[in-house]
Amino acid sequence: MCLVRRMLSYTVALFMIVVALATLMGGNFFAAKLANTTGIKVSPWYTGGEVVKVIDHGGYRTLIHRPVFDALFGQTQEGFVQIDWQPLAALPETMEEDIDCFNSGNAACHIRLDTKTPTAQVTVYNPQVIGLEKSYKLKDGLAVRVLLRRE
Amino acid sequence: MQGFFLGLSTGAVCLAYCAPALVPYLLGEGKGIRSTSLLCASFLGGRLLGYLMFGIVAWGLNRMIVSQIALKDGFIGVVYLVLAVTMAWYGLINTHTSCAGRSIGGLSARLIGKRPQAIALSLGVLTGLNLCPPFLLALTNASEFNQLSQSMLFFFEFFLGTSLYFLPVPLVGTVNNRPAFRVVGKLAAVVMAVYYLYTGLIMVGGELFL
Amino acid sequence: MKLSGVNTCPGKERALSFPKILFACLPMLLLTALLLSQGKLPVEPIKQAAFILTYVFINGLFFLMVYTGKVHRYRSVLFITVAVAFIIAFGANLLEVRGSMILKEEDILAGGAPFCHLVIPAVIIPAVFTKTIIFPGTIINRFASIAGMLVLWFGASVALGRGWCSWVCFYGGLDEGFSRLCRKPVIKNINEKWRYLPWAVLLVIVLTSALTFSPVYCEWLCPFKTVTEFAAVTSFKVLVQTVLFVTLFISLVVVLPVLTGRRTQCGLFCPFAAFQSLTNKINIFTIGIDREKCVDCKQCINTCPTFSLDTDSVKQGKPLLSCTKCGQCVDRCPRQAIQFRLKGIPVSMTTQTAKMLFLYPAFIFATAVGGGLIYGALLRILKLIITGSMF
Repeated sequence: MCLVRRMLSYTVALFMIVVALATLMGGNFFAAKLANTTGIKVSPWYTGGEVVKVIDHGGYRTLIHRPVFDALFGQTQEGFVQIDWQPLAALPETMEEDIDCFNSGNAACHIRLDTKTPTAQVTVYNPQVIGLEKSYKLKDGLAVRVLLRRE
Repeated sequence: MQGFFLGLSTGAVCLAYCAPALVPYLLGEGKGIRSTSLLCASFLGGRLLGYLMFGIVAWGLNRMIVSQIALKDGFIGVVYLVLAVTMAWYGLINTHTSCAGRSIGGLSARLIGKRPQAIALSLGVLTGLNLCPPFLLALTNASEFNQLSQSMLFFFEFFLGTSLYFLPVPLVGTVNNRPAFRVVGKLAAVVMAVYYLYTGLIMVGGELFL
Repeated sequence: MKLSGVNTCPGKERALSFPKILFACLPMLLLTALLLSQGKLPVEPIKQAAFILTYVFINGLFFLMVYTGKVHRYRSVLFITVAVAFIIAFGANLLEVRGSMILKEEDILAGGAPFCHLVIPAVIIPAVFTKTIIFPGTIINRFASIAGMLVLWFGASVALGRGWCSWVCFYGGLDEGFSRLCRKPVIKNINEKWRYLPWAVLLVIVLTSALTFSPVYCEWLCPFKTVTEFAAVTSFKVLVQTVLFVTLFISLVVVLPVLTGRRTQCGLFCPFAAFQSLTNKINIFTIGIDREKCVDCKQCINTCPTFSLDTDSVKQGKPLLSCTKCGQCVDRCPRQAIQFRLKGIPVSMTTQTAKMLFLYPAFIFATAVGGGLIYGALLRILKLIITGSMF
C-alpha cells in the first residue's frame, strides 16, 4: 500500500511537468476554448454592451448599444446607454441626432456633439433619460454615454 | 402586498448590499447557529427600524432628498461614516474573542460584552438607512402614497419580502466556531469600516472640494 | 536530545554528483530555449544579445540551484529580477502603446487594461452569476488577455499551488527585494492574528466586488498601481484612491518589508495570496519537517517570509496552508530537517527527486512568465544604451 502511494505521488508529481508545459504551449488554445465554452464577456459597464442598432449616414455610422442596467442580481435603478460614431476621420465638425435609447422606435433624447473637442449636449425627450454622463474619444470614433433610469 | 413582492424581487440585491456588513460581524461573534440566528434577527430588527424611520422621513422629505443630489450624497455619506465607525469599533474593540487590536478595549468593550445584539441592531439600522438600489426603488414607489401609514406599511412589506433572503445567513454559525474564523470576521469588519469610511468621505468631501 | 545520528554538515548529504547535475540541467536548457524563443530565434543582433543574456542568466540560476542545493537563494535572485524587469518592460510597453502609464477612461471603454491575476478572486462570483468579467480587459487575443491569464493561473495553481506566489507572481519580487535590504529586522514580533488579515481582505473584496459589480481591490487597495498603470486624477474619488495606492505601496511593499525582513504585502495583506493558499490543498508538492532531525531552533519560523510557519505547525511537521514553497526554510535549517516533499510520502522517505520534481514545473512557469519580462526589459535597456531611446 505504501509503495502504491509512493508510486502514485511520483506519477502525479511527474504529471505536473506535463501540466506546466501544456499550460504554456497550449495557452492560446485553452484560452479560446475557455472563452467559447463559457461564453464569458467583459462587463457591459466597461464595453457599453451589445450594439443593437446601426444607422448608416453615408460617410459615417451611428452605433447604439443596448441600455445597461446589469447587476449581480436583477438590475440597477440607474444605468446608461452608449452611442458610438465612427470612423473618426469621416465625422463632421458638429453632429446632431435623435437617439432611440431604448430601441423602442421612439427618440428618447437628442444629442449635439462637437467632434473636435469632443463635447456633447443632451436634450431629454423621455423622462427615463437623466442626462449626459460623459463623452469619450475612442481609437477610431467618438462615444457618448447617456444616463438612464429604469422604469 | 405591492411592497412585499417588490421586496421579494429585489431581496437578493438587499442581501448582497447587507452581507458585507453582516457576515464579518457574524463570523466575528463566533457562536453557533442559535446565537447567530438571534444576532441575525437583531440585525433584521434594526433594519426594519431603519426602514420605518426612513418611511417617516421619506414621507415628509421625499422630494427634497431625492431631487437634491448634493443633499442626498451628503446624507448617505454621513450614514456611511457612522457605519464605518460602528464597524471599526466592533472590529477593534474586543469583547470576548481575540483580535489583533485587543488592547484598545475598555468601557466600550464591557458595554458590547453585555449587549452584543446592540451592535447587530445598530448595523441593521445603518444598512437600513443606506440608499441601495432596491431601497431607492421602494422609495420611488412609496412616494406615491399620501398617508404616513400607507408609506410605513409599504416599507414594512418591503422589509418582509427582502428578509426572506436572509434566512440562510445564520448558517454562518456552522463555520464560525473555529477561532480563525472569528479573527477573520473581526479583521474583515475593520477592513469594511475603512471601505465605508472612504466611501463616506468621498461622498461628503467630493461635495466640499469639487 | 535529537542530535544523535544527524548529519551536521550542511550541503554534503544532498549534493548531487556532477554528471547527475548536468543530466538534471539538460532538459531545462532545452525547455527554456523553447519557451523563451517561442520556437523562433530572434534575428536582429540587439534582440539576439537580449535573448542570450536572458538565457544564460536563467539557466545559470537553475544550475546553481541544483549544484548548491540552495533553492531559495537563486530563486530569490530570479524573483527580484523579474519584478524589476516587469516594471521596466510593462511601463515601456504602456508608454509605447498608449503614450503614458495613465489608464484613461477611453482605454477602459476599449478594454485596454491588461488582466492581472490579483483580481481573480473578485471576478469569480460575478462571472458565475452573470457570465461577465468585471474588469476592463479583453477576453482573448491580446497581451495579458482575460482568458489567457485565467488559463495560466489555473495551470500554475494545479502544478504549484501557492508556489505561484514565490515563482510566478511578478509583483512578489518587489517586497522580497525590500525585505532583503536589512539583514537584522527591526520589528521581530508580529501578532500572529495579523496573519488572518489577507483572509479578511479577501472576504471583503469578494463581497464588495460582487455588490458593486466592479473590481474593488483594483480600484481601492492595490499597492502595485503605484508602479504599473494608474488612473488619471480627474476627481476627488480618484485622488483618494491614488493616495491610498501610494500609501499602501510605501508601507506594505517598502517600509514594512525593510523593517521586518518579511514579505508583508504577500503575507499580511494580499487577498489573492489568501485565495491562492486554498490551491495548496490540491497540490502534490509541499514542505516537510523531519521531527527526528528538528531541534526546535525556530530559525525557520523566524525566517519564513510569508509567516507560514509557527510553533504548532513545526511540531506537526508541516507548514501552514499559506506556504509559498519559496525554499527559504529549507535553505536556512541548520539540521537539514526541512525538505521539499510530495504528499503521500513521509518526510523520512523523501529524496532529492521530490525537490527536482517540484523545481521543473516551478522553473518552467518562472521562465515562461519571468523570462519574457527579463528579455523585454533587457531589450529596452540595450536599445536605450545603443540608440538613446527605449522604443
